[in-house]
Amino acid sequence: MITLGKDEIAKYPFLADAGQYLKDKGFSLQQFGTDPDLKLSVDKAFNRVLASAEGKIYKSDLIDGEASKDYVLEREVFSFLLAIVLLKLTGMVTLIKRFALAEARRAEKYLEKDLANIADESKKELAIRIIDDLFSIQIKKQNEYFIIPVSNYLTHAVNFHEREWKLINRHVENGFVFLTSHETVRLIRKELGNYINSKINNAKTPNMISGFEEPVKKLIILSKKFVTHPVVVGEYPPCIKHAIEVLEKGENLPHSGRFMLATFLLARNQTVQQIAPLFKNAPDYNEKVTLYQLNHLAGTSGSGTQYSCPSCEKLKTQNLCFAIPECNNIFNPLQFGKKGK
Amino acid sequence: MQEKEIKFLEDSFKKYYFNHFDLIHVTERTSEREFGFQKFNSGMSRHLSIKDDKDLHLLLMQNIPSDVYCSNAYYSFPNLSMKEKDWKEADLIFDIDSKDLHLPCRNNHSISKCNECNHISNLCIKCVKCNSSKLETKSLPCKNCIDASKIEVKKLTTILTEDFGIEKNNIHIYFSGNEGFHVYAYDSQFQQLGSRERSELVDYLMFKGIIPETFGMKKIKPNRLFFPDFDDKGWRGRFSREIFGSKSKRSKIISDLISSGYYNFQKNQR
Repeated sequence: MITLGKDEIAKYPFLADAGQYLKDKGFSLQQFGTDPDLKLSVDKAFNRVLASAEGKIYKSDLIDGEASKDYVLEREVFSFLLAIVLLKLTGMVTLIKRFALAEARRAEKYLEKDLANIADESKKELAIRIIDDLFSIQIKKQNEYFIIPVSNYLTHAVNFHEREWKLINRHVENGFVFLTSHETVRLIRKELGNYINSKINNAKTPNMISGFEEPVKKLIILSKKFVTHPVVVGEYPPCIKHAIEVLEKGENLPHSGRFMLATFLLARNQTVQQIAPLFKNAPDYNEKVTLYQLNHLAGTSGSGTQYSCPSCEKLKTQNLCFAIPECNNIFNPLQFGKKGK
Repeated sequence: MQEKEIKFLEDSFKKYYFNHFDLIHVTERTSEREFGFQKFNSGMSRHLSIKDDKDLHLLLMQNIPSDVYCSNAYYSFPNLSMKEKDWKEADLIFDIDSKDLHLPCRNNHSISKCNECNHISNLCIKCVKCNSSKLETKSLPCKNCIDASKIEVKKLTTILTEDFGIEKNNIHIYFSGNEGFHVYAYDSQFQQLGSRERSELVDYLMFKGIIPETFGMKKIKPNRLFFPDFDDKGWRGRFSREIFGSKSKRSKIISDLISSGYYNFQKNQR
């Protein structure tokens, strides 16, 4: 475990042991609900959650990651811990997710600053250690760049869909990817969010505390705004249309294409019996083999694993993607035509 | 195949295996890999684990397979079902096949075989005899194809060593037995990567998914000054050396890239 200084806890409060922190400071949760001075922190916590729900980053009282007075620092940490208590009491998953992401972005700013800190070597070291401890990325400094092993880079970068994160658009040399401090930290945003998210999910839900009812009620009302209803449109995406056309013409569709088509249709609740005839025109059609393979993909035979439809990214690699403007912002053919209402 | 033919093949293979034990060896970390084999005219047997050369030779003698397979993945329990194997890691293996190079010589050593009427003809889209489109292409290797594959192998190993930092002596190259080569990279930092990450490596090797800006092509005010330096590492330098280095078409390629490179690249990468 990394030992943190006072101002570090304020910058990275998710690294602290919440219960222990309050105990060390000599406070109980109940006091925050009743004591008018401490109640300020609950208000701050409420605003911290509110900001995150609106996609904003909570405006901190810290200046350049440091506080002029100790109590400012404490209030900063309290508001984070109390925000978690509020979120647990509301029990709304969407709010927790938004909060975790916003907090990740807040911490990201400090991490970036610490990484690039030339004046204070210890700050840079701490940032490097946090990233290594939490996400197993070994960062080294080389001239003005931060270099990380290609394999490390890929495990994180595959979660991004913007092309700038593709390895081909990166400076790659001798097994390392070269990044700026901003990019290094950006690389772990999602995981940082997930880390904070899981920390909140694993925290114990306290019983309702007197004085917390009002903000909790407000947050529950707020979270209802974020529920979406997906609408399914019957149209097939171009990759699936293309695969069907190829088969209809009696041309050969590669194994990967057949896999895509079958898993797609299975996911759209078509039965093996409905799908099998599609392959009839394939040059190497064999009814028995086709049924066997389809049942295998559906998970009705073999290991029982149901195979899922490959992502757009994978299909691009396999030359099976024929994207049209309607494909924008989807990551899997199954999302085609599904819109939030 | 007729029973008589199978018997003949099995006898010949058995003899061959028996006389060549000194050439037939298992790969490294054998006991962590899954083996499988196929007999003439019958299905696949898999989920086998093999300890050493002797084990393999015994399998060959007892089963006289037409093909033997070995996983590139390492498992805790290679002989259990897929779910229970417990995947540990996998070597990187690349298959370079001259079929994919679409060389002009291919027409000279390929034929089409109709799956409906078994008619054999020069390469065609529909059977000239029965008009069926269910055709299979069969081809033989040729020197030109093999030479072209060798160039691709060299390109690949350059990127593997220079860009990915894989040690040269951890890269092994084998003739595939058909029309190309298999390139194995052992013991690299990539052993534990999953399939999504491996697809990214492939896109990198294939120069896929680029943003025109990465290579100095701009939407507004394009200029040759923005192209990467020759000695830039990785694809940037490779790109510049290629476009500025090809003497005959140099000026045409460069002016094309300056005038319409941005849009062409963007279009082709979608």
